[in-house]
This record gives sequence, structure tokens and C-alpha cells, in this order.
Amino acid sequence: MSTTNYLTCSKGWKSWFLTLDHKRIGVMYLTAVLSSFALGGLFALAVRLELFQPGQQFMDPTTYNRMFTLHGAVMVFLFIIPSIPAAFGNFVLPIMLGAQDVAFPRLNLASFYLWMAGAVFFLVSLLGGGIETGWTFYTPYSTTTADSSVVSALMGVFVLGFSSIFTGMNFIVTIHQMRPKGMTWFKMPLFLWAIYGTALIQVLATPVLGITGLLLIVERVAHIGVFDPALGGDPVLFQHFFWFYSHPAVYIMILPAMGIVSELIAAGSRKEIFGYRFIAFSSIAIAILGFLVWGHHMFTSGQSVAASVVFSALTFTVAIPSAIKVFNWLSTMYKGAIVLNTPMCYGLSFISLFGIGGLTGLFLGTLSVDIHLHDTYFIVAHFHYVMMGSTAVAFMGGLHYWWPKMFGKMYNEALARVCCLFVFIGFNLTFLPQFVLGTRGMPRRYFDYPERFQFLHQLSTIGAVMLFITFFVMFSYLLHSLVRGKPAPMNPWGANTNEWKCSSPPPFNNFDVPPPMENPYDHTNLVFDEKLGGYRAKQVINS
Amino acid sequence: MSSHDNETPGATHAHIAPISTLMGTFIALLVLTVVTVVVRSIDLGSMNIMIAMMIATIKAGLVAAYFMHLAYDGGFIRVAFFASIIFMGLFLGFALLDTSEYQDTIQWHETLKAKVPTEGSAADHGK
Amino acid sequence: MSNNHHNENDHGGHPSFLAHHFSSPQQQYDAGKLGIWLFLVTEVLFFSGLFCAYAVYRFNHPEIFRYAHFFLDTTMGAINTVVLILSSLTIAWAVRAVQLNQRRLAVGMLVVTLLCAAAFMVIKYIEYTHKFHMGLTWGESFAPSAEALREVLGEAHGEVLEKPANLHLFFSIYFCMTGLHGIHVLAGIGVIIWMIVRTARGDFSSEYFGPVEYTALYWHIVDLVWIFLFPLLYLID
Ligand SMILES: [Cu+2]
Repeated sequence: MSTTNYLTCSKGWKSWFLTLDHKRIGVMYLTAVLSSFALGGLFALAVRLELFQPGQQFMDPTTYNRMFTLHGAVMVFLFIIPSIPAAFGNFVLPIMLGAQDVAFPRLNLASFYLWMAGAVFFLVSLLGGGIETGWTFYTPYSTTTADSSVVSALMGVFVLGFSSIFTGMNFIVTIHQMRPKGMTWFKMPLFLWAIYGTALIQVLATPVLGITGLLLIVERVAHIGVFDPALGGDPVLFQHFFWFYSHPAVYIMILPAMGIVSELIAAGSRKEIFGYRFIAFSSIAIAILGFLVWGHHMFTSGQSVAASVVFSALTFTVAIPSAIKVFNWLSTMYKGAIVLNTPMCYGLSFISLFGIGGLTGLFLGTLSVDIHLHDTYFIVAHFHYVMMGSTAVAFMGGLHYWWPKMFGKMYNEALARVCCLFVFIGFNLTFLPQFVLGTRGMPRRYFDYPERFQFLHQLSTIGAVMLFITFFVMFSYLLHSLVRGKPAPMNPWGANTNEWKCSSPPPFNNFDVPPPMENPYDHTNLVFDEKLGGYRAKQVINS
Repeated sequence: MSSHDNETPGATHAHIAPISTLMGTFIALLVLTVVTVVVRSIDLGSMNIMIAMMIATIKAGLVAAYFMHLAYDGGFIRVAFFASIIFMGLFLGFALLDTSEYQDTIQWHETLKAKVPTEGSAADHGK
Repeated sequence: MSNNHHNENDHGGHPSFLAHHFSSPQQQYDAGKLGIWLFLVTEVLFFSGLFCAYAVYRFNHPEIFRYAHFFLDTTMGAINTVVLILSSLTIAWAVRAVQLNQRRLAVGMLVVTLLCAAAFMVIKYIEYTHKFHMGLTWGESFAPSAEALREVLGEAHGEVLEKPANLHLFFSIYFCMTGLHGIHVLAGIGVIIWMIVRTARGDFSSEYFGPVEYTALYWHIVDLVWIFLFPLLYLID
């Protein structure tokens, strides 16, 4: 076994910023997306505090508009979309395959720097006064009305899109070409199937975001009129452009989260995953079906009735593969020896929050109901249940699951479980009241509201503060573990996927001995060893 | 990995296009370009664009099949290429299906603009 | 740092062009090829936005396109089509030459490709300056000169067409499509120059020719887009 690992094998800032090692790039991405999460969280907190009481508290309406726009744009483009694939995908994908690196390490580093460039564009836009168009950049706000730095934000979106495309391309090629002998498609961990499905969407949908952003920039700068009704253009066409990417993008956000949850549930249930092939194929099904439903964002935008009916019907079909996953996770837990460690707690949290988020999506997909609910707090609550309650929770689950592998240190389990509980409570406290607000007619993105909504808004704000404090505690104990944490064992959760067959942290070239290619969910051969504080293979004890 | 090294070290197997195929494709492309320019001057009504697109598709097919070796490289590459065309069709198809439905609204905006030239968003546009 | 754990002697047969994380040249070649094809997929979808805008406006406002196409020079478009087809042939031939170790032929073919690409841009430049000169630009800045309109009516064989509203939309789309395509040609010129240098230097052989082939694939997609742009923009009736 190596005495050095990927963290200690070379030193100096150059060894990090010019590294081609997928693990170091993953760690850099992790730092970057977590910083964006903190930034986006601050914007969210500002919005919620402003809404604590009716009327103006501490910011004027335009600042408020900029706050929620920046919150949305930073969270979507800088945090959620790159979060799981770029940070965890990069770190574990080659190790899970038993490969040495991704297919194109240089492209991988380039995509990280594209992310950085995108973040810089966003910062420029922030310093230039922010944007008040909403993260969706709808015309004519973005082309004519908005009086702010829309162009640099759009440049950011454009560049971040290419970062995402390159990550996706890299992962598809890696999965097709870099699997060692014996690693067949159906021996791949389900996280990789999810990442693969995600990568397909990244490659097929994101270019359209690129051209949309480019056209919008040209529209704003040169007034070409393609999206501008004042010049004979078609503003609804912009929405087709935007949602052709941005609905599939929802699956770029949720699919990798589902992949993580498959790993968490299997490891935490100490049982082979139920319905492996169903979960695997449902990832691909979601990726493809996700392309057929974008019109459900345009039911009330002047879209034709014919298109709306088709899009509504197709929207319901996405529920099928999603439900297949949930049922298989539940069946995996059934009669399992469930261990309530931190990752598993996040897994359970995900299932319940995703249940609510997914089912409320069906309300919104129903044409007649959507007329009532569109652009209210109901939709805000719905997509936060999917994006934050599901994706961000799964991200935290993945962070706690792979933290020992990435840094070789254990965090404080008890505190972590308490934090997980508080994330769950704080999240529901923030967003359950918003469902009620929405059905009662509170429109989204409004600066002010009538007094009768105050109680529900205050509950929501208290929840947001609670979430903020919890995340602060979480990052504190995680950072603390880097310094004072107990050394992590090779396999703390008793999972059988390949990343648990190399040391924690992994050596520079991932494996000193190529790992055996076996069923990734067969846990029968693993037993808990008190001395190690983790799991080890049975034979080792017997011999 | 050693299996490859044992055969011919460093060998890469790929299709080599014969000169006849390359030249044949080239000539076919030139002929089709002439055809598409000539056909244009015959008035066939709405059929003109259909014919022009068909010829363009055949030309694109020739380039993809022989210059880009798609006729020889099978498997996932072909799937990926056709997927890009299918998803492009999906995008164009749905957008086209839809936009014709609300042209009335855009027209209405136009007439409104014509009636009240000094008011409305059109007037202060771009200032 | 080496990935060879099986056999120390393997390293001796490890060709210099093989990146450390690949186990064989074939794997490296296949990975690169799949990668470039996926990139081409993204290019197709990237352009699809402009084709979508084109389709929507042409479908809803055929009168704009019928009127506006008189402003385009079919001869120029046709010449450019032939130039690009020729460049596609030569770069495909360059790949063949590299695969057969015909280094000088490969360099020659690449140089011809480069000249074609440059010729394409020169013709494009002539077209663009002519349009700017006549005030035929995009969107808001669209202000055709009397000279330009006379020229069009002359070309329409005396047929007096009523000038449709929002004529500028055609030119917005025209400049977006040909502009984005032109940027791709410029990028292609850069890559082809790099390939000429590397081929002349002797980087490539029948064992290692991936980069030349990937460049060729990119160049073909640029040609492919133009094959559609030509009838869509220059051959409207
Ligand atoms: Cu959607």
C-alpha cells in the first residue's frame, strides 16, 4: 500500500491549480460549489428577512428583485448544476470504474476553469449592480426593461454551459471507453448510471442554452429583434429556447442526486439494492423523457392549447420512472438491517422530500390547476422541494458519505445526524407554509404582501434562519474534522463499490492493485470491525 | 491491456478511405450543388424548399457517410449523431407547432403600435 | 506515476504519444474519436437554435424571406459552397495520407484546405462589406439605401414587390447564422494551421493520426452546416 495519497503526493499551489488528477479537480470543484452555495444562501436569507414583515424592511424593491434573481442564478448555474456531477462525479467516477482517470484530464481541468470564468462573470454582474430579470432572463425584461448588467450574467451562463458540456462529454467517453476488463455495464454502480444519464442531457440540451444566451446578448446589445415584439420578434420563442434547455436541466440537477441516494440507501440498508436494472434504466428514461415536457412552463404564456395538452400529458409520464426509483429504494429498505448513519439519514430525508416535491409537480402539470397555481408561492415551494429538498439534501448526503474517502477523516457522527434532522425540519418549516401561501394566492417574486399572509411568511423566514445556522454548524464540524478528525477507515459504511476498495484518501493512481470487478451491491462478504471503525472483507478475519 | 501490446505494439485500427470513394463523393456533391441551383429557377411553388432541403440532406448524408466515415464507424457514434438530429427535430417541431398559434397576438401588437406610434413600449425602445 | 502494474517490460513498448491513463493507443484513439463526435453533437444542437429561429420566421413570414433574398448574391454563395466542398475533400484526403504515412501529401492537402478556408472568408468579407455599405444590417440598425432597393427591384426583373414589414428580421437571422458559421471557420483555420505544423514536424504516423482525423471531423461539420445554409439563405423563391 502506498504511503502517500493524492493529497500528499505533491505540494505547492501549482500542483493543485495545474493538476490533471480527477480527484484534485473534484476537490477544487467541491470547494467552488460550496462557496457558491454559501453565496446563494446569503442572497436567499436576505430575501427571506425582507419578507419577514409586509412593506419595506431594509432594501428597496429593485434591490429585492436583484437579490432573488442573484439567488436563483447563483444557485442554479453555479451550485446545483455543477454540484454533484462536477464535484463527486469527478472524484468517484473513475475510481468506481476501477480506471485511473477520466478520458480527457486536460478537458476536465479546462471545464473547471470555464466554471471559474463563469463565476467571475457573475461577480462582475453582481458588482455592476446585479440583475433583476429573474434567473429565467425572460424577454422583454432581459432585452429592454432591465437596467442592469444582464450581458455579463449571460456571458456567465454561456461559459458555465460549456463547462457543463465538457464535463458531460468527458463522463460519457470515460464510461464508454475507460471501463477496465470485467467492469460491464451492469456491474456499474447506480450512481454512474445516473451520471451517465445526466451527461446525455448535458451534451444534448446545454448547447441550446448556449445559443439562447448568445442570441439574448446579441439582442440586448445590437437589437436584432428576434425575441423583441417591438421589432416584430417573437418573445414566446425565447421561452421555447430557454425551456428546451432548462426543463432538462432540472434532470441535470435531480438525476445525480437520485444516483447518490441509490448508493446511500443500498449501503445503509445492508442489503443488495432492489431492482438494479429498473433503477438503471429509469435514469436513462428520465433523461430522455425530460426533453419532451418543456412546454409545461408555458401553459399561461400564450402557448397553443394543442401544445399545452401534449406537454401536460407528457409531463405525467416523467412521474413513472421517478416513482420506479422510489419504489425500488423502499423495497431495498424492506427487511434490510437499516443503519441510521448520517448518509442514510440524508437518504431517508431525500425520499420524503422528493416525494412531496415530485407529487406537487403533478398538480402543476395539470393544465386547469396550473392556471390557478402558476407564478405563485406554490411553484416556489414545489421547485425548492425538488432542487433543495432533494438535490441539495442528496448533495449533503453524498458529502457525508464520501467525505471520509476524500479527506481520510471522520466527522462527528452525532452532531452530523442532529444537523441532518435540523436541515429536514428547517427545510419543511421554510417551504411547507409556501404551499399554503401559493394556494391562497400569494404571487412569487413580489416585494410586498397583505397582512393576512404575514404569519406564514414569518414561519418561512424562521425556517430559513434555522437552515442557515444548521449549514453554518455543518461546515464548522466538517472543517474541524479536517484538522482534528479521526482517521477514516477504508470502508466506513460497508459499501461494496470500488471506491471503498482503495485506501482513504485514495493513492494518486487510485489503485495499487486493480480491484476485483464484482456485484457492487453484494454486502454479504463485509463485516463490521470495531477496531477499524469500518467494514472489512470476511476472509481477512478468517485467515 | 497486454493483449493489445502483444499483437502490434501501438497499432491503431481505423478505416482508410480509398481515393475512389473520396473523389466519387466530391463529384456527387458538386453535381448536387449544380442541381439545387438549377432547380431553384423552376417554379414548383412550395415544393421548391422541400426539394432544396432534400438535396441538402442528401449532400449532408454523403459528407457524413464517406468524408466523416460514418458508413464504417458503427455503434454509439452513429447513435449519438442521429440523436442530435432527432433532438434538433424535436426542438424545431414543437416550436413550429406552437408559434403559428399565437401570431395573431403578435399581429395585434403590430397594429397597436401602428395606431399609437408615440405610446407603448415600441417607442422608447433602445433608449 | 506509470499505470503499468502488470509487467515492467510494458513500459519499454509504451509509445511516446500515449497518454499515461490510457492502456493502449487504440483506446486513446477511440476515446478521442467518441469525444470529438460528442462535440459535433453539441455543435449540431448549438446551431439548431438558429435553424429553429429561421424555421419559425420563415413559416410565419414567408413574404420577408421572398423579398429579402434578392439582396443576396447566389453566385457568391455557390462559389463558397464549392470552395467548402473542395476543402472537405482535401482534408479527408489529408487524413488518408497521414494514415498511409504520406507526410508530404498530408501537409499539401492540409495547406489546400487552409487556402479554401481563407478563400471562403475572403468571399464572406466581400459580401458583408457590400451589405454594410448598402445599409442592410440587422434589426434596429437596418436602413437600406435607395441604391440597395433599386438594385433589388432591378434583380426582381422589374417585378414590383411590396416591401414587407420587419424586413430586418431576415438580416438579423442571416448575420447570426453566417456570423456564427464564420466564427467556426475561423476556429477551423486556427486548428488546421496547428495540424499543418504538427504534421510537418512529423508528430503523426500510421500509428498515431487521431488529431488530424478529429480536426477533419470538425471541419466536415462546418461544411455540413453551410450545405444547409446555402439553400436556406441564398436559394429562396
Ligand atoms: Cu419543467
